[in-house]
Amino acid sequence: MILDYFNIILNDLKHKRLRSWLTIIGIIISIASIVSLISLAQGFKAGVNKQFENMGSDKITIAPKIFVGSSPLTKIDLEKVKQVNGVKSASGIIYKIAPLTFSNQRKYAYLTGLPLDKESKELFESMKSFKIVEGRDLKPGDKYKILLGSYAADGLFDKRIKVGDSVTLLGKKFRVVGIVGSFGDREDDSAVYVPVTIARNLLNEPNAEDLIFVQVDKGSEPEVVAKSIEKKLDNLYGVTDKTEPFLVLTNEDLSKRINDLLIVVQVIFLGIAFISILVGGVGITTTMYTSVVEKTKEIGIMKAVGARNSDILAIFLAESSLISLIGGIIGLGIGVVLAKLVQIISVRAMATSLIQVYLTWQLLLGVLVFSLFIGLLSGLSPAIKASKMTPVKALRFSM
Amino acid sequence: MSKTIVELDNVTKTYDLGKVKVKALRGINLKVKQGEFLIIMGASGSGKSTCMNMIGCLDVPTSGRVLLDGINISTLSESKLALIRGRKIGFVFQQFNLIPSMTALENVELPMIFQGVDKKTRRERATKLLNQVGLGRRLEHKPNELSGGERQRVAIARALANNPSLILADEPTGNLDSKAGREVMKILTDLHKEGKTVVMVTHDPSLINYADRIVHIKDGIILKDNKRRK
Repeated sequence: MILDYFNIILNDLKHKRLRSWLTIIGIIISIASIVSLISLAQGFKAGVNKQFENMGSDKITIAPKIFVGSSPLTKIDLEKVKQVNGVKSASGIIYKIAPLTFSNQRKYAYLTGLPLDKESKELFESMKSFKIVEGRDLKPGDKYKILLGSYAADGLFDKRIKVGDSVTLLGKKFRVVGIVGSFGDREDDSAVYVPVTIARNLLNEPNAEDLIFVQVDKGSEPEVVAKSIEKKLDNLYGVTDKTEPFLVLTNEDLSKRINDLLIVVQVIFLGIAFISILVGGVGITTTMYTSVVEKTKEIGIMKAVGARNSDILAIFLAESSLISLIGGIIGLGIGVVLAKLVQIISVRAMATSLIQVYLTWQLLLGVLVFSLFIGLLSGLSPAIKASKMTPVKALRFSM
Repeated sequence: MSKTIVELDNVTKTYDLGKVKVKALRGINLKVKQGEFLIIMGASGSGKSTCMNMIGCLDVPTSGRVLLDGINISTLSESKLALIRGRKIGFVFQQFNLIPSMTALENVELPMIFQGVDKKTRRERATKLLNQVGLGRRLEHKPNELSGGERQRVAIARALANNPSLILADEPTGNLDSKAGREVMKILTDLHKEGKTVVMVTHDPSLINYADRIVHIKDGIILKDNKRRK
């Protein structure tokens, strides 16, 4: 029965093709924006969460509140942190964007100064799946030796950099000793690693620590240890919770903060999408009202040949949902393409792979069900109007 | 004595047009017998079309009763009326009233869709009916690709779709030239011979020869009700 209605409707949609498409475009735009915004937001969220997962929950990060200019954290802080109860080990890194030159091409890479003592190495290796896929790791005693992230070696420059090649970093020649395996994240893969002492010299930062990582003792609560560290640093600096220039974050804290922010972003996205679908829905309602008026006579004919009110209702609802569903399907396709484009552009322009399209079948199905629902809702009042026409009056109608 | 299909029992119909009330029917008593070819004659505004709407269950009376196969339809809901119309009555209109976006075949299939007939049966029956009215080569044509006479024949095929016992024709030749008109009348006569009850509304006196009973309506009441010997 429903299929028969669709035949009737398809006929009719073909009949007034332009108007149908204009209405459908309204839905396409809103569904495409919903799909691209949500898939990107979810992808971003998944990417961020994955990074935290990689780090493990028994780590604490101490970072400056504002990541611009010199870090307020110093070696002295690091030593104090090490003394806090529950801290197994702690290590600091230097982390700056720095120019990297190779075969006359100049690019920017994330320069990471790695401490090479055993304790620090263990800490870093437990935080990230840090694997040398070519050459060797940095070892104590290395000076102008450099490790390249997978993208820094292969992708950043036109020519692939191999182990044994020389690159110039901050005006100094470094010999590439190893390539680090991909972390699946463009930002991390663009990093280059040099011994921290060398980095300090080149950057003229003898004491600063850009990030301090803490490994919590087994059996200690990261939250409690983080609080102790914060208190200790506050005392050291003579500051309070509000004025402290740094953040002491457990991974759970950090991911919660970012997720809270993402929820706000998603709510805003959904708000915009909701407004656009509202406009699209009103478009359907308008089209359907026009259609009902135009087809008054046909409604009369159908009633004369035995269509019940419910048949007419179903025909018009099916038409509005079909319009909306077609819009939904096309919008879905365009939304996915749009999101992929944003992903590609963000990778190219910002060298970050945090913005990833994340498509779940729940999203795809949800969007289609949603567009069907919008179609039904926007078609409801015109369809009721159509179904309630009396056959005699409808038959007498002429345009 | 053959069975009564439709009975109008003191039927009145008043249209409320806001300030004025128009009394279209002022007490009609009429029994349509099975197998009759009945013509309702009258000038425009006489109430003949309203009378036909009553017979065809397209409208319900203001007072009085309309009995179809002995069932009082005056109090039925619009949906029940629609079911009855679809099964028992076939309409042929002066304006053809085909659906312009549908082919001849689809137009004829339409009444069967609302009775839940499956697609295969529908297609077969619609093809057969269109062949019967001589349009076997016009199945996929849209109404605007057909002549007036052809359109009316599609409409007749549609009226026969659910094999109703009663055919109601409202000025079926009114928009046709005389040749096409004769063809349409021939088909209606053939249907009558096959045993269908035909009720036709017209103001054209030249058509009375087709009927075996003529009812004259004026100002909403029946003036004359004559049987004819053919």
